[in-house]
Amino acid sequence: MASTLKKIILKSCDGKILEVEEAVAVQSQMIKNMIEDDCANEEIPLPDITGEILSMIIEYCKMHVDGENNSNNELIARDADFITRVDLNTLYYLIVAANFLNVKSLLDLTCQRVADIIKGKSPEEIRLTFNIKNDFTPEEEEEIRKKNAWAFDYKD
Amino acid sequence: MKLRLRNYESKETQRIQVTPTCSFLQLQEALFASLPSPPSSLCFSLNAKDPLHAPSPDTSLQSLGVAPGDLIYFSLNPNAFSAVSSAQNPQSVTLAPDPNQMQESSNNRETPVQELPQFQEPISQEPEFSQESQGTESMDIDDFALSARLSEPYFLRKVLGEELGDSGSIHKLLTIAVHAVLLESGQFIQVYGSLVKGSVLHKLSLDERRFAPTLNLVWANCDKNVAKSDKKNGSFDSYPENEVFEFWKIVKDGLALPLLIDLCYKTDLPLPACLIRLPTELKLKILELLPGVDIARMECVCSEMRYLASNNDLWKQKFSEELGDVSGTSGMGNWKKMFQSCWESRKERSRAITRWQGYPHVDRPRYIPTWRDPNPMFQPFGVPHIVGGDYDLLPGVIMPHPHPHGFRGRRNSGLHCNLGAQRDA
Repeated sequence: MASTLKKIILKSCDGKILEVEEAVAVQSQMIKNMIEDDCANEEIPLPDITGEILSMIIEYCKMHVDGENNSNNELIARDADFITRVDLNTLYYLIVAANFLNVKSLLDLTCQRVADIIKGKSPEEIRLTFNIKNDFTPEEEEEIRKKNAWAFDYKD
Repeated sequence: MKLRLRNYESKETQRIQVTPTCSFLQLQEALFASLPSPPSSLCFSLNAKDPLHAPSPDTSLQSLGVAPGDLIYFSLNPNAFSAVSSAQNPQSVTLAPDPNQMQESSNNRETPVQELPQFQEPISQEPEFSQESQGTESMDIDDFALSARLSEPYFLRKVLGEELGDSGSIHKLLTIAVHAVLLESGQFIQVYGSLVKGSVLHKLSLDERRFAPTLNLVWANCDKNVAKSDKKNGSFDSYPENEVFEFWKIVKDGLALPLLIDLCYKTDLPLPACLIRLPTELKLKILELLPGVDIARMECVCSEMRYLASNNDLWKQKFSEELGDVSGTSGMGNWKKMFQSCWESRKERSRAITRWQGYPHVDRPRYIPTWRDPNPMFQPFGVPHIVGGDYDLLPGVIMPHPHPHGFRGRRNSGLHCNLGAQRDA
């Protein structure tokens, strides 16, 4: 198909310009809509996405386009490999960008990764992992811990 | 455009037709002409509470927020509409904050600006804003923490409590200012926030008709006496928690979070934690992917997570995912409480099995009996509803199973031999 050879030009917020095959770019619902509306003939500026994050997202989309004929298990394994290489801060930017570009499978994958990181951790561990400030007063914390005491008893 | 004019005292309503560009002065003149004798004074109001002020007689009605079809109250008594809103609490209608308290507002640190685009209906059945008359007695948070509330708008109660409790915090100033905007304006308000000139301007639009009654209910519940007396009538049992949540989400994502991030950039302070910086919708998405137990632990992390993780819809979803069918039950009820009690009783059973088998730890199969007919008599508060564990095998004995092979597999798992023991336990 001729259309698959068409290139879409994406520009990151730090000025990096990336040429992407249309078949890869349409993994993003947002870009797909732009192409359908015939608004994608010039470079598409992406104000909140850095070049580094953008190339990661393109890598992910390529992986999914190339892997279309692979088995499901193989794709899942590749997804897992892709996402476990990512540190928390990058993960945050990936989520925001996947949400903005509307790449549903990547958004699901990244959010699932965050959930997996949270799973099984105590509130203290979660605060430490994500660097979240404990903004409860001691009384509030006691009240909320009491209310959720059932969730802490996971010895058996 | 057509307008309705109602005499505040006599309740008589008349209809008049004015040009779309009609000014405040022209409206007055039109009304004068219809009255038997020209009155000495005249004042207008859109909601029968707050007077309609025009900066100059030539101001067009549209710029004051009047739309075709609107009902406008008028009174010959010049003080008819000002008494309610300003007498007891002069701050509540003061939009411009005290310069001493907000020195930085001079460089546009946070500038609430109001705008009244368009609205479709008159506000004739607006609920009373009773807070001005409720005085400054301090509230008892615990008192209604005990009540069966669904998701808890801690953020609102805290701020409102601070306002009531006369603790002199700056929240007081801001909430009163925002509230004053709600009171004074028509039905849509737009709030703008920006750190300094030149930086990004964040804007959000709030539908007063949608949110004001709900916020007012939360406020009314803040007052111990009101809450108690109304609870007897059962009328205050639940307020639309989703509306409160929606309000919180709009203000949080539209204003609070972007401003905080801007501020951190400006002052070179570290940004808030990445998880906290995510928009509310994505935080909820992540919470939805967690098992119920982890959501409960997330609730203990920080106050924002406490609010998000107490969302009733979230717990309803978890209940259906982990514990069983929720169809056949009404959407109401505290799903977290139900989850907790079913979860605990299930654990109780699995503990009993562990004791009997003498193993230190048994990983119970998480078996959700989706194929089973939901019990039409399912009572969420009656804990004895049996979910999970080997009890699930029993209905299969009675009812023909659509997938006999799968079932046989489970029967052969070696656990069924404990059925008798478990019944004893």
